[in-house]
Amino acid sequence: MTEPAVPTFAVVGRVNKGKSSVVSTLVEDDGVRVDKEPGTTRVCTRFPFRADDGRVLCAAIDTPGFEEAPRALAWLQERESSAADRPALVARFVATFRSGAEFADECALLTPILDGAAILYVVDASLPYRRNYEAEMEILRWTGRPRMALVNRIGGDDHVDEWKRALNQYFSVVRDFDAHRSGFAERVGLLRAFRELDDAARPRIDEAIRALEADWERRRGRAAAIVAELIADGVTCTVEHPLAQHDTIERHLPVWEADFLSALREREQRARRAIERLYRHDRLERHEASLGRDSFTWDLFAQESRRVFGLDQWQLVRAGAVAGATIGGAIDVATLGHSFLVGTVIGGVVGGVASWLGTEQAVEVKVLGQSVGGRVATIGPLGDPQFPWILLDRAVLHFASVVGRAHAERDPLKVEPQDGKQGASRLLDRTTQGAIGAAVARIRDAGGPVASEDVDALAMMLGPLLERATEAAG
Amino acid sequence: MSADTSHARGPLTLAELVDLEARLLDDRDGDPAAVAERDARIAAELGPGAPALSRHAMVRRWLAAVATPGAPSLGQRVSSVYRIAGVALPVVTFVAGVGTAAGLLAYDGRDPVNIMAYLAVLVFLQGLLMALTVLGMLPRAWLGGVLRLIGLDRGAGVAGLVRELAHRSARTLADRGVIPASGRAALGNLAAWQTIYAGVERWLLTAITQRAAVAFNLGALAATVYLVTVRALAFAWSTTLEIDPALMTRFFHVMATPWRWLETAVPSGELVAASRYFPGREYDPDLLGDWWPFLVAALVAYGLVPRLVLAAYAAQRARAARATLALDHGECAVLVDRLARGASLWGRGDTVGTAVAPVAPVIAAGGAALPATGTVVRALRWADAAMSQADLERLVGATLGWRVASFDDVRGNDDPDERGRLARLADSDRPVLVVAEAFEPPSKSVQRLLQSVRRSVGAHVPVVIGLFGGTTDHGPPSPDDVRIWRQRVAALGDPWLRVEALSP
Repeated sequence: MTEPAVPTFAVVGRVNKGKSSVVSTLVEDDGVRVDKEPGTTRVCTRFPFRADDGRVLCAAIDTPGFEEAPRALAWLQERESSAADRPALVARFVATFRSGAEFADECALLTPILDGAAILYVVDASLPYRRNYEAEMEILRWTGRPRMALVNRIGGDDHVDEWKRALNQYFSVVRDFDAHRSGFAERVGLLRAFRELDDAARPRIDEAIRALEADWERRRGRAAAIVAELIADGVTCTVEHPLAQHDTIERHLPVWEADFLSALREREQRARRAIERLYRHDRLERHEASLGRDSFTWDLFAQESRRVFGLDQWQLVRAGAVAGATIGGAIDVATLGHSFLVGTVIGGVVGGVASWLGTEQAVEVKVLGQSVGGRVATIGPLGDPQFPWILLDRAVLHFASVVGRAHAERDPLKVEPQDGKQGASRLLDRTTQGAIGAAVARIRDAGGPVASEDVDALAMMLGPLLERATEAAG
Repeated sequence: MSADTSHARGPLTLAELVDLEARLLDDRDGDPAAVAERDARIAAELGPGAPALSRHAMVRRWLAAVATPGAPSLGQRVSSVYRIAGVALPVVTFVAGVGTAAGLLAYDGRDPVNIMAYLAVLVFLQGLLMALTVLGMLPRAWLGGVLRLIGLDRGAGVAGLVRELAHRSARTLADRGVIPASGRAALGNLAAWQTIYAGVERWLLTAITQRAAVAFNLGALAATVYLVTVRALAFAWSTTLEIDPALMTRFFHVMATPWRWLETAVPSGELVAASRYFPGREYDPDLLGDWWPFLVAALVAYGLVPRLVLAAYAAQRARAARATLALDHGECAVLVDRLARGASLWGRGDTVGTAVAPVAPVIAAGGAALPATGTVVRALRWADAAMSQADLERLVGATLGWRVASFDDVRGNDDPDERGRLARLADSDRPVLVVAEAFEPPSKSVQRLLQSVRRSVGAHVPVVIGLFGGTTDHGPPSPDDVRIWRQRVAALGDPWLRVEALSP
């Protein structure tokens, strides 16, 4: 079933104590079923951790919970002859009841352990310790496999001390791990604890930890790129509407402004989803105040232009001027410069003026029934200098909420500022703020398609900001 | 895409790059869970070797997997327009070259052909255009605002026209339903961003226009050679300026530097002096015909060869731009990560072993009434519940008005003591109260205990499960816990079995 050399950890425990929550958070998979109903995990599920070259470095197995531990232990105790025989006796138990329904859950959870998995025993320390837990802990002890207890807390009460006093007698390592609040540091900490369980597993676990840490860095870099793209997209966002011959922008402005705000919100939502997917929150429901019109000064550009072959009037004038100047320049060259560039100047002026005057007619021209131009109303971009900062603040706040969220958490993500402050402003010094402001201004003022190198430069500046946001998120 | 290109080698083609950008834009608006699930499936199909694949190979296989079978993709449409332009433009410019040269070499037998006009159009004007082309080829960072000033940053000129036609054609196809409606939206976004393929497209367009320029020069060359072969042309030079023929000779010699070794193509001082044009002057047509090697050499050296070099350079840069495309930008990087992640770091879970049978379906609760106030019951304390006999008597008395006759522990371990305690329940027909902590979910163990109790007491003796909550104070159980217990117990289908909350 499992390659012997692959360190594997079977996450076991009584039903409804948070085994699947622990697995969900550990393997960053919000698709693992976590439910208040007991007994939702009906089958063992193996989550492999692979290196970049495809090798499996370690694996975690989610298992069904103990259902009949006292009776299973009674069966084992009746047949025990010596401590040395206990692992074999557990194997005999599984062989005896594997095909029946009587101890189906116990057989399912013990099988990976008998195949060589180490034990990760999960308890809920928000509930009091009871003596009847000893049956399952005793069975696990009888397997002879390396064992670690994880003290999870599903509810609000605290019985950690009494649990630890009992667990310390059965397990060599006992760790706190709140599956609903643990972040990256806790997950890596748990992996580090795995290496203490089994000397042979250390090299692979160390490699897995290095891969995880490198991946975490990579993800933060990509998140910075996504936020940078959002800001670039936001500050250059324009929405175009075709304009009939005698129509005016003012007639449609209220509707088009609403469209523009929707376009901004849509871009922000795309970035949100991209970051959530990056951090493997594929099923996240999010509660966040929409980007509101009252969040910034509604300083929206709206202008009409004419297009011929996709070029606006000024581009046509420039192109016409260049073409005219080129022809005039040729004449100048033909006279060996004796015309003192008069040809170039006149050609440029004539070309530019002709293009300006000709645009109006050119927009009406049709080639093969298709118009080569037309009147276009361009709404946007927003002129408010605070707007990119608002986008950045909201993005950093969302990033911090996502990056600190455990995958076992199933409640909607609430993106709210802490202490009444937004995300980015409290994490930036003046110099960095200035550099980011300059990078955004460069993107906004460039006009035309956004240059990817400008976005990359902005992303480089945002990387450390997101790192601080990660630290602040704990 | 209609053709399966998933196993093609080399860097992504322009068509694939356009499709990649369009697909990523599509995914932005898609259901994140569905997108994640689709890509996880594709990643699984790529197998454990996926991380070792190049990004281009990985994306190519992804594109093949998400393509709509049978329909030409958006990228293929755009790309085919480029291909057509790549063939049609050189044909058009070849004809234009022939026409231009023929016009410039028009000779009516009286006024000789003006060398300066030929050079102005086919050498100097073309030289200026080439200078602009080279300017456009320089790295954007070097030029900054210069490109923007003359409009080259948005692909003005022939290249911009070709690009606009390609995209416009794809938009028209979208309007006519040949490309899905989403394609049109994608095109709008592509025009605004082109983050992935803009660099490749820029060099591809430059290569197309330079090939067209080569064809123009070939056309001009062919027309020139043809005309000087079949017609006796006479050449002269004239300007409105007073220029010494010695100066003009130096000028022509400087121009002839690249082919100085070809003596017949370097005009002599006598030829230059004899070729100066004055209205009404008599010429020696045999002598003036000697200009044509110079003109042909000038066209080749200053028109054809530089255009060939530019065309080759642009083609090489287009190939290099494709090959060096890192595909590490924004969502593209996230996609590659998603595909590689299917086989690296924590992968999706795989089922091992066989599934445990699910809990039996819920059966409606039975109709047995709750025993009346004053009933004397026998109590069983389940699984070390934190409830003493005295506390239980107080709680049951206050809650249900019952009295407790006996109090025993049951733990589900089925040992002889426990079997004995359960067997003794048969001695009386008093109702049985099983006391349990509600926060401990009902396991199969408790279901089996209840079945054992039923076997002992007979079919019609009420068995009541009394739940209490609170981990320290015997408080009321939570409604959720009570519901879960009721569901599990109802699955036993025992009409004389009830679950009650023991809350004062």
